[in-house]
Amino acid sequence: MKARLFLVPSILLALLCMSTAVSDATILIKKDLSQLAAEAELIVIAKVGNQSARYAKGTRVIFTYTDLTIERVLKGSSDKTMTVAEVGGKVGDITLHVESMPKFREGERVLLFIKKDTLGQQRVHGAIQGKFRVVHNFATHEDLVLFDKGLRYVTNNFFATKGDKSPTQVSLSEFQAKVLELVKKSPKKTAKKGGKK
Amino acid sequence: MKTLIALLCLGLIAPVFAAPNGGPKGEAKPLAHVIGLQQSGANIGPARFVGSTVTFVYNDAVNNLPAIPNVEAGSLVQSACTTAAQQWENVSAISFTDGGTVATQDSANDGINLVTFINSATNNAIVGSALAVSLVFFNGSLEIVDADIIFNSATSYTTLATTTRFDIQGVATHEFGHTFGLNHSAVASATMFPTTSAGATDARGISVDDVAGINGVYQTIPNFWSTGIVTGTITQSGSNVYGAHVVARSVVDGTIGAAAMSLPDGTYSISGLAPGPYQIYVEPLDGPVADSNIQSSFFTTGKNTTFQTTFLGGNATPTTIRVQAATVTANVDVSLAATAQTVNLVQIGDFPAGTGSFSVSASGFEKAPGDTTFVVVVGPSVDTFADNQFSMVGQGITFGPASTGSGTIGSNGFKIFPLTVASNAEPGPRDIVYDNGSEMAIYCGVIEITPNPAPSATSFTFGAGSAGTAGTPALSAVGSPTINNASFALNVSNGVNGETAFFYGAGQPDFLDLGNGVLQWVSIPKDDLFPAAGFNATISSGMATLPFPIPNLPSIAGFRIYLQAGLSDPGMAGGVSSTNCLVLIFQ
Repeated sequence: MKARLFLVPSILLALLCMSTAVSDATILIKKDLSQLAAEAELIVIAKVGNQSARYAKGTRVIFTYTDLTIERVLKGSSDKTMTVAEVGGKVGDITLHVESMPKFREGERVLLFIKKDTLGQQRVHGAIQGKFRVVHNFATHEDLVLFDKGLRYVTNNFFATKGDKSPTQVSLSEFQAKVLELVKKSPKKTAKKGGKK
Repeated sequence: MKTLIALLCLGLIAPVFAAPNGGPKGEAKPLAHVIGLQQSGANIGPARFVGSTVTFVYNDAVNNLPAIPNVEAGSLVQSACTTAAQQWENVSAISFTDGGTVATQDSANDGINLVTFINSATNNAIVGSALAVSLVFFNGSLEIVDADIIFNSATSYTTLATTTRFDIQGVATHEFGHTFGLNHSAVASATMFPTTSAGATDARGISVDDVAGINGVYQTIPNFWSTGIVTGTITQSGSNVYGAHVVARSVVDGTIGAAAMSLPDGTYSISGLAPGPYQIYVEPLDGPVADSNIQSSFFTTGKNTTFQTTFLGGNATPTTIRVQAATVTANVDVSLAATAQTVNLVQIGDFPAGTGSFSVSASGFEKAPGDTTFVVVVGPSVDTFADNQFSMVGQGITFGPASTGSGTIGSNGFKIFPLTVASNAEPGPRDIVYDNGSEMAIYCGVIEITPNPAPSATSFTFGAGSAGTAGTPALSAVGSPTINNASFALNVSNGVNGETAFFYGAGQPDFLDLGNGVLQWVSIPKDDLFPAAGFNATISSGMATLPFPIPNLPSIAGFRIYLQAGLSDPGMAGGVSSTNCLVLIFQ
């Protein structure tokens, strides 16, 4: 068995792996950075403001609504402020708990991939996969984007280097540049040609 | 115990043997992996259903598949989901009722516990980019007042094990776990592990870790009285460590005995442990399960992942602790150095063919006793690591030692190792370990050994003996502990000629440090250690043999005893030396 295996060069084996691998879907359906960039309608860098929870209009499902102050828009267009909704939260005595939804803390800076949901609410696209924390390194005066170790698949293929195959952070400027590049590359939605209905 | 052995020797055995690990062979050992809900940084404990039964209903499209075209024709959706829920009912105090079908389509806090596959604005807004979502509404008393499960209407599902589709029963088992109050587990073979793959059906059957989790929320009296609890605090430079994965591994067979997560105050509590000896290790949530996988429940972020995998007592010589039934073993504290982990194992592949192509994923898989396969181990730079630094833990496992292939997948490296699971391998989750001498990475519980449906009589050893004048005595079986094997015997080696070997046995393993290097591995009172007569043999040529005929009693099939010998040895401090533990499983 060993001899047969060594007949398969490692590179070929790796290619075979990649071509036939079953998608390792999490409870979330996996999305990498290029998918997030292509599918999001809005990509922003923002500061988190107030949060409040209520039942979404026309439903008996609790959502938490988080106010954002927009610092920069990387895709789409937005007012200076906006609100994103996430399922879950507490209304009165009742708490709704749902796994894998992003949580926000007032005052934190975030880079978000956003898409409208079927209730017309602005949502973080891909749940926790579409939220990145932005922090400022006071020693280097550099803004950094932090990657979650459990979501390596989102970013690894875009920022891995020979020295660091699985970085846990990159500069905000590098991240922005990559996102803008991916947005540019992503297939454009062709507008339906106008015609009389 | 003296009586027990006497009965056995005399062929008068009654059903007094303790069942293996507290239950009949093949029954899952209880583990604990309950993560409490938190708000504002305070642990508020798990939410739970209160009352005699939990009733779920199904949207009526489950029996009208054209209405849910993402489900493969021929699938039996309702029965698959009910079977999934019954997995939890079968091992806990939960009483589940299939309430039939209803016209209700949307998830809502309406007092109706609903399973729905319907493509609607409300359901789609909730499920978003998930395969399925569980909604758990609970009140201030942590009582669940409504729970719903939404399957994504854009995902291809089946109950027919079609490899390109997601398995309804497996996903439902996971989601019902959430609705019953469980969070995600970092034990890779657990149903509550946060990832799955298309075609995977492993999650249909709940694992030992899941059993512990559900019993932590819905305790049964038999479970409480038959299992123990370990508690302690994880610290680093005097500060409490939040979010550390604390794992209890059985010294007996290497299976994962239990696991838990440390809370913001650094404390942890592992419940549902079968009595016996354990080693405790602490690992960072650095993937494949990480902060993001459980942050929703903790409501706070800030888990500490800046430490390396560390055993209680140190990685070189881990400390063994004693767990007793219905008892809390407290103050099992671990102090961590503030050194970041640099090695990690993040994916695994089951590669039976051993050549050609394979797939890998973060979640573990099952193997049965007698199976052979090749295991693909994936992680940063793994392809560059030495083969002899990889191992798989526990009794009945042959892993490697040499790899049969290596390469890279994306930014990770991989190595392929042969794996053979012995026909007598103990069921339960096993770790794969990378240890380079200065740092260790553990893929926790990544391969679960399933029970052998046709077990044979077997014996195996564990635990260290204490050195004597003639070396370290060893206890071994002579023959197979097959029912009606009149010639079966116990043998001790490395004794002092003319001295005596005393044999002891019990229905449970144990751990006691008796001093002078003597460790007791069987569960008997200390005062009974050296009986005056009956089960001893004189040592000659360094050996002693005790005839141990197995009675012709079919009722003892599947039961086990744990045996050890103490040897008189005037040359040693305390005048004794001791053997390893020998486990006999009768068939």
